[in-house]
Amino acid sequence: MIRLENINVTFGKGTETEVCALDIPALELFEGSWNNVIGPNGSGKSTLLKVICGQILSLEGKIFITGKNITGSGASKRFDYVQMIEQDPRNNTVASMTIEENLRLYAFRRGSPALSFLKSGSVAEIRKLLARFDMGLEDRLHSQAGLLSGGQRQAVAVAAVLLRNPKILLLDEFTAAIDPKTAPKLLNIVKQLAADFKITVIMVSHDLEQVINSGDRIFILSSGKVAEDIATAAAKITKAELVAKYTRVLEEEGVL
Amino acid sequence: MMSINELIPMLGSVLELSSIYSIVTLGLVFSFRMVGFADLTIESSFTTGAAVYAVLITQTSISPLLALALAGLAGSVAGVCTALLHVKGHISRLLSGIIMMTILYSVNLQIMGKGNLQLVNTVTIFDAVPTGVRPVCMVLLALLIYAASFLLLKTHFGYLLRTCGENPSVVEKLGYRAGGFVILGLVISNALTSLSGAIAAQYYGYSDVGMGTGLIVAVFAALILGESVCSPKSIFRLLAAAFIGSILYRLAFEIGLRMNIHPWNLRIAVGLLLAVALVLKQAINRKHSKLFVGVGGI
Repeated sequence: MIRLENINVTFGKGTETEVCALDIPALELFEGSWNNVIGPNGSGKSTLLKVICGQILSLEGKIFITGKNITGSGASKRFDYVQMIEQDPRNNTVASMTIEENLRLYAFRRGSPALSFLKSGSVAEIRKLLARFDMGLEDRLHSQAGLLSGGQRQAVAVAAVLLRNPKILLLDEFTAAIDPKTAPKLLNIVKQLAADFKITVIMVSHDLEQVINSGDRIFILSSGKVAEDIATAAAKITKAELVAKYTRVLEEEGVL
Repeated sequence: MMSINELIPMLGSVLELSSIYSIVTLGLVFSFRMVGFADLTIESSFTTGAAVYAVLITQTSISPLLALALAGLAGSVAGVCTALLHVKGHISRLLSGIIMMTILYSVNLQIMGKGNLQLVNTVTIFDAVPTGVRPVCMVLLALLIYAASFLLLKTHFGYLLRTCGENPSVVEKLGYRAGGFVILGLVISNALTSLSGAIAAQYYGYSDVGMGTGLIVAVFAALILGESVCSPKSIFRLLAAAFIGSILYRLAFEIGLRMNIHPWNLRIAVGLLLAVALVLKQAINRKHSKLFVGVGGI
């Protein structure tokens, strides 16, 4: 589904401050799979997401999505099928717009008539989608996004993104700013939705608990390289085992 | 105290002038509240509109309506230049505006050929209507432009324009570059400003190279004043605030003149008015911060 070949991102090449942010010889993610990525700061997690969504164009290597080589296409083209939800809810939705306006904004695709009115079309689909989050959002279509709680606002962002029918969803610590009670609840709903919509997900997280209980694979990144690739779909891993592996990676890198 | 015979013409001229300048305030809504660009270019592009109109109407025989349209077009070119300095040249928003404002001053002189062009006995768009009805016509014209802008802002394009100022990262997630919308925002803003300048030239009967000086403070004062009496929690209310604010500002200005403020001190009065409006708005924002988010993320 997503295939990375010989990806190398090096910042400040040829200077004293040269740093290799990402170095992946080969990586394949399966269609509809849920992939978790963990790793210390600076290990290349965010760079990996940016390379996939095209915000960083890798000068070396190739990226394939469903067999199609997309290496040369920039973020503006890729955002038609790759979507990213960032940690800060304020980056994903527009505060002064209502929930409905935010969703309709995201539903708009390039090439559609730009001078058509935003609110044309039915609200039934929007309500149905929002109802999945079990937060009462479907009854608050006219509330401004800026007045919602962090958790509600991220839920609106997920719903908005789904209206674009993405093939790939990148989650960059998207529950980090949410209270510990709401975060696992939202994560579970997103997992169900991703399965229903057959979306391939890459989730970056610092929360080992979240990672261990969800998904098909765990990648531990270290200094831009995949240090561990653990398949968890068939054979479950215990938290102790994951902590042990993660600790070893951190020790090798000299963080611990 | 003023007699009723004085009051009505005064209110008439306040309405007419505030309607003319409300089009600049509307321009500021596009540049400042939509694409987040406090654009100083308008100080000069207002004059550009007046200059282009004055030259066309005195030296050619084209209709005043066409001359207005061409004046607006000239302003949009200025908007493109400012936006390109920022988007392509990576010059800060403030400096891009200052640079274009400065350049345009000379351009305006070149267009007019001298510092002041009189428009005596020329045709205007209001020739057909009696003098007494002119304020009403001007208000209607301004409201028509406001209505068109309202409809534009309710389209997908309008929402994208608005997103570009408030949250550029969302624009990117939608597959667009924010820079393109900054250009379009400034094009609309400066076209409206130039159009307003051309109408102002008709109203005053001349075009003067200094007629836009101090305009940015005036329209900011009008917008902020309007927003503090009409909280801008929706597009409709934001546009209403811009229009109401334009009238309130002109009324305050007129009252200042009638109170025999020395012309030297008018700018002190205008500056203080803007400061008071800002303080008032901040106070209201603090009180209502949990109730709504203003358009533009304020």
